[in-house]
Amino acid sequence: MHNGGPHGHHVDLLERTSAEVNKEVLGWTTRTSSKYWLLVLALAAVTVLGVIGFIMKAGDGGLDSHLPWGYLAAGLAFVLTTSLSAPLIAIAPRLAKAHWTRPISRIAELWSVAGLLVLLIMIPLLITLPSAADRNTMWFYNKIAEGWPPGAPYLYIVLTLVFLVINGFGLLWASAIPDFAAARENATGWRKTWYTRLSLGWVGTKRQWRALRAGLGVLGALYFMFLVFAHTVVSFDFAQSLVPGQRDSIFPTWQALGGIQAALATVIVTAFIVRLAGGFKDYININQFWSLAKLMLASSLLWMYFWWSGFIVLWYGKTPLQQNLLDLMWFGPYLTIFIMTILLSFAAPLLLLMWNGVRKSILGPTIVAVLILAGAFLDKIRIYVSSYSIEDVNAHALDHVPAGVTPESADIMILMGVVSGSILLFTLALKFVPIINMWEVREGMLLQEIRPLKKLPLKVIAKPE
Amino acid sequence: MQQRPALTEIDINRDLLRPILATPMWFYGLLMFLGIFVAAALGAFAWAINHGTGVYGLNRPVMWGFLLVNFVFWVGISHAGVMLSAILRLCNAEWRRPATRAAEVLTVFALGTAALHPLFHLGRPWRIYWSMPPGYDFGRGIWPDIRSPFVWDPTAISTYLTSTALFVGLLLLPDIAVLRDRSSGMMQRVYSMLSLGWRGNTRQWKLQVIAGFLLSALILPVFVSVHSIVSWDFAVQIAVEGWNATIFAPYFVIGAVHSGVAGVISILALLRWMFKWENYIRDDHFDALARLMIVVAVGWFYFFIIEFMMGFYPNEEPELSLRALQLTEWPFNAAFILFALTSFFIPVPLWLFRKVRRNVALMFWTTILVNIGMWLERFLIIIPSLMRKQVLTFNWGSYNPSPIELILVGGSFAMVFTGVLTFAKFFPIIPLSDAKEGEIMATEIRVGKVMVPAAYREE
Amino acid sequence: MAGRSILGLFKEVDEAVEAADKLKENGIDDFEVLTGSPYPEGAFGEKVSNHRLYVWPLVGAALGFSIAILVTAGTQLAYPVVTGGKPILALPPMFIIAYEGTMLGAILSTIIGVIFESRLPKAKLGLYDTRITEGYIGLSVVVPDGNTDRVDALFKAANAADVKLEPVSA
Repeated sequence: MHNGGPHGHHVDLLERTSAEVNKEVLGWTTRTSSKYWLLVLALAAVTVLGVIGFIMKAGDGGLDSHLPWGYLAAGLAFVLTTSLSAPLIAIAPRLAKAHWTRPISRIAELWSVAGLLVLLIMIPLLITLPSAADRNTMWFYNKIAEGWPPGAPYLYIVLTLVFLVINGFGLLWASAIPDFAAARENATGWRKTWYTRLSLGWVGTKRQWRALRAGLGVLGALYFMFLVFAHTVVSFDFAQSLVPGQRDSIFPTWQALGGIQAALATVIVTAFIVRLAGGFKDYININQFWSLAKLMLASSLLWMYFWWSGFIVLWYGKTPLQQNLLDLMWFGPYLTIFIMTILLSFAAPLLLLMWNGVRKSILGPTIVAVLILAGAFLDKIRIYVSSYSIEDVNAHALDHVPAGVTPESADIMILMGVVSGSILLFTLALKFVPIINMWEVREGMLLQEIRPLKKLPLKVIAKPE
Repeated sequence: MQQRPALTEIDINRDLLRPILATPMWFYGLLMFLGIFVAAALGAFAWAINHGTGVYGLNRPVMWGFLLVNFVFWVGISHAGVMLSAILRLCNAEWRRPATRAAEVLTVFALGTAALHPLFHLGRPWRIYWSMPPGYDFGRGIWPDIRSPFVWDPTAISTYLTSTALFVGLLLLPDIAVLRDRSSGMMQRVYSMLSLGWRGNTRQWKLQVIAGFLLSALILPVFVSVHSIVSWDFAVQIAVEGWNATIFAPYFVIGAVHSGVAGVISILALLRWMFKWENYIRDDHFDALARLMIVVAVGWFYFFIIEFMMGFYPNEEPELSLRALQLTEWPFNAAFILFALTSFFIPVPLWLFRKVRRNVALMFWTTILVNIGMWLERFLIIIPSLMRKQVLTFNWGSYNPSPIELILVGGSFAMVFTGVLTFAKFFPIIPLSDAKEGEIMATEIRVGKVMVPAAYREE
Repeated sequence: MAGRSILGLFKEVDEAVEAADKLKENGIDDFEVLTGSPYPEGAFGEKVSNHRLYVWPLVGAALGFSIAILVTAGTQLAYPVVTGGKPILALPPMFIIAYEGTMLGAILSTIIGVIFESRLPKAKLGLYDTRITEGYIGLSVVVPDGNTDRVDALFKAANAADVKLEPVSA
């Protein structure tokens, strides 16, 4: 139903019965076509290519030094920034009781399955990471007492990422319990077995709903905190602490913010594809893209602000170390990538999304999202490849800027494999977990309606306590 | 929001215009009492002009003391206006309605008071005009050095002050029209002139709504830039340990939001008690504001931890000496503990409880605690760092605030409250049009047997 | 024949809506709705007005940016002292001041734009009633002199609390 305001604006509300919602969403979830399997095959092939690239590189340079592995570290950071940050788009608006996230919250949460890839990539990176013994790390290894804290940084990186991934899976599972319960009724075979197991006997009593909401609140808040901590840990241990003399306090927060920006972009692009592929145009409509676009504009502006805060302090000081850091990170061998990142992650979003007509469309935010994802990809390469290129990580300060590290064919294969691997995991998962959060959408239909205010049909939104 | 007694426009006019049209006697008494402190502050400033800045406790190396702490504090408080008004307006949050103008007015007076502090600080305050072109002695070819953060400061502060003051003024037009219609005599003529001929037709209201959104979106970047620039007064300096950190800008901004929103909550509690506005500043407003405070406080705490931790990260002696001074030596160790407790560890756990969030007295006192803590935070950033108590320097110094500085700091609080109260005497501190719009847009949706509070949403 | 303003005052919102409908049925669709609180545009069935407010912040921003660049570049070139190893034309500080200038320009011109587009300031208030700010809804129409009785009757039929006619100018 549209409310035709005098401006010709229309704001769409879903007009379906509960049974229709279940049928449409579950129908698409349980149906697989040859196109789908072709896509899975193609993604699997590229992922295998990535594995081959890794084996080539491991065989060539070995796992003795961290120097060759900058591109793999960039890959891990990119998946962390995009896929693992995506669940935030479900968590934050749910806490604020916003209605517009309802049809896309599952898309956001489902991206946490790419965490499995992160855990896999983490292993060779940990093997090649230099010891924390004679350099500054966020764990202050050997600084307070000899050999303390034990296992730093490896143990804590593992704990952080493992807890993050478990939390992500937990959040996904919890939010899907009522939908699994709806799915088990009409499912057959292995689906019925697994939907029944995973729905934990859900019947939808008041007590169960209350427990679910509390659980989603706690898991969501924990995920947010773990994610920020994960960004902090990864950006310190795989980037900042490998550059002697760098003490950039805004860097981890800037990376976390980049994660929010990339998360929005990931969800927009995925929502665009899902609404076309699944025929969900009535579910995922202009409301979602408009709201996400506004947030994407805000996060792009904040991204630039955080970058500028880091830059101005280094630029102003003009010490030799600060000038070397400026060169290494931005104005030296990686200048071209840096300029492209500024254009893709800031200039394009600002110049396009500042127009309401672009924000309030389906294609506009999607195009900007693709540009942002490209910018995030290049930015991770710039950061991690430059950090991994420093030979003497135990020096006191960076006294010269090494030459830029161009990717070998193995590096390109690895990067393609990482991106494809995370998309593969998502694609496989979406044919098991209903891609639209059915219970949230049904709840939204109860709490929104179109009602005339005198002569004007307007949307009415309820926000229960 | 859950509880809402239905209010007519007559009710709203009568209740919210009472401080203006039927000012109680205690109001004047309160203004006179605050005026004593304002006069004392102005007297202290006059004394400093007459006797020179030697009357302050400042000396090498602690050249910035209480006055700069106070400057940063009030700039911080001024950030509440835009945070609440702009961001909540853009998010269509219904619970912003009573808070927006109080927050904006607090911004204007806090920022104006903050802007006085560099003036207090100057050796020759009558040369303040040198900070902006063409004020400098350009007859001799000397211009302000725009490479310095001390030139970025007045640019940012004057931009923010001008923008917020005009923003308040523009959105006041409908309320001034109400005063024009309800007052008589000289005041009626003044309000008539100020209302610019407002009639309240659809076009004028539509532009007011659009102006609210558009100006909110334009002022938000200014708000972020102001406290960032104030932070760069410290952060760009390589010579002072504890200051040269890249995180200062967002750290200061989120700290400003933390203290500013706390300040607004304190003001709202006072307004509710003073003018008996329980129907307008309701328990659920405090509930929503407290939940916002939890999010802001946790974010601020994260920035604080990172900033503090990075002090230890490079493992360099001068900075470690500074941190040792902050954590272990009197009075900074006591100040540190007090700061941690009052700005985070007491208020935030309390706010997790619904009963606390909906208790106006508790919200008032916890937000006062937050601002005590945030004042101490700025104290701990500025003064220990300047004391230079490191190895291999002959620049050790300490700092004792003089009575003149203490009077100026205390007087600044009186200045801000006087400003807000004076505004409340002549203009409605809770926007009438917002309150009335809230009544129009409030409705309910039936879900089974329950009526759930809802609101119309204009897209 | 010259037009005269006639103002109908309604205590209830529904009465005003009914009166607005009656005006439109009688071929009068250009009427002004006066309210003491903001109703969404179109709530009374009135015509939508267009505005060009969005031009103002762009023009102001461009102006503010240009002035800021001129001032910062000009003062640096006029007094070229190397401070802290920074170049004479230091772009980052210029950007900061230009940013503030741009935002100030945009905001100032937006405020002027809102006042202008609201057709303010107005020297004379015109046909008005102070009860509007107490919750009454005003419907104001300009009609040819001979038609005022018809509109008067129309308003009264919709239960108007009062009907005011613009005085005839001497």
